[in-house]
Amino acid sequence: MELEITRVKRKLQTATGFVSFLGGIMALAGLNASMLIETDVFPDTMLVKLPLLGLFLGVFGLVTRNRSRMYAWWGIGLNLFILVFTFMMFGLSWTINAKP
Amino acid sequence: MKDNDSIENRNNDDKLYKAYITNTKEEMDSSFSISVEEQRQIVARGRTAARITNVMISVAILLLILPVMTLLSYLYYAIGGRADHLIEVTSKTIYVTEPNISIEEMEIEDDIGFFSMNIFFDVYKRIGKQDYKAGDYDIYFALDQPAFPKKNMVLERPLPENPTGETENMLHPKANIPFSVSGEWNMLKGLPNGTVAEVYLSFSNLMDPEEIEEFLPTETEVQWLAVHTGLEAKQTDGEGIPIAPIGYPAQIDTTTWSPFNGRDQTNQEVFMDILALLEENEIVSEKVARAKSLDMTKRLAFLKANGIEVYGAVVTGPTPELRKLEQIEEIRAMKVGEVKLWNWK
Repeated sequence: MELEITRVKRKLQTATGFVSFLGGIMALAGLNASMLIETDVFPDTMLVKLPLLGLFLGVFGLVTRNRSRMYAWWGIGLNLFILVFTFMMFGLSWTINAKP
Repeated sequence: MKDNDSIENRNNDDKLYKAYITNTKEEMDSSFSISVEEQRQIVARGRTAARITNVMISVAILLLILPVMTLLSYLYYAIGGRADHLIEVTSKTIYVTEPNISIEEMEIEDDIGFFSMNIFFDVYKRIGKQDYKAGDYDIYFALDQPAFPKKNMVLERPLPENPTGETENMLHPKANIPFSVSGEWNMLKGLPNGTVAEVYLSFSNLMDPEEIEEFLPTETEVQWLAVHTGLEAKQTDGEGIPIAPIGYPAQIDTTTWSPFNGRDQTNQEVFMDILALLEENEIVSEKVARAKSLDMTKRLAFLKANGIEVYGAVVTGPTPELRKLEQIEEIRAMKVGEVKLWNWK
């Protein structure tokens, strides 16, 4: 039983993973807001800097040995999605109705 | 005897089992060092952690909906150049169905929403020597299905949105003239000399496009030619739905992106190519055009068999020059279009 309880303690999330996940959610919320209010230029901080930081923290959160990595994986997923989204949107916007 | 043995064995097993259980329970009680209060705290902490995780994952999923849908929409329109194709069909439909209307291809804007797209553009009319804004279009596409365009025309005498034989400006030699031709000539005579105007001409006979220049005054310019496609005498398609003229710009448009830029093909060849394109995309072109039937298959087959002959034209020039058209016997009817202040030279 002693072992069981220790495992419960170890199952707590990593702090970096948590911050990464939270950062991802915040960046995603910023992305949603800018899409809903239809600004043409998405704020750079929301779309590149925050996700990059989140991605870094997420990867850092994975390094931990004993704690759960779920938040870190979510953080990496969300931040990577935002980066891919930004990159693809730029690319696709250029392809559609392209003008020299 | 055997039965007695087995009952005895089972009783022994039960005793052993009970003893083992009691022993284990005692061991557990002695080694279980966490108090009830601590257990409650652990459960509470676990519950809070689970709640935060649930909330965060739910929020993340909700926030992913909009970007994912938007990305999918962009992918839908970008893959295979769907959006570009819809824009091309739309702009080319306007060139061949709207008399003397042109588009600045470079200024076509698009706005992609949730699996839908709006395209916006201005249309221009050449009156005299200048292009004037004739209005703007806003066309909504749900995936690749267009809605009727929202038009905002800024013309003095716009063409009717639902064309019928009675509202037509350019008429086939065999079709009745629904307006007073003398009234139109009087209108032209009443205009000041210092103006330029656009007139819709209907000819007495079908003729080759080149013949028109021969009888028109030199100080005028043909802008658009209405082509005989076999349906104009009746003014309806096979099912009785009214049709409107189709034709092509008579002048070469030097704008780089215009299909009628005269580089590789003549305007007539471009016109035939456009009709073939519209035939393949009739759903889109019939929504964009004013006439709700284009009957392109039949018209294209007729043109391929009979060649291009014209029955009407849009001509622009100084008003005094246009008045001279009344004396030309090849011209059966005239309707005044737009009038602007002098810009001829």
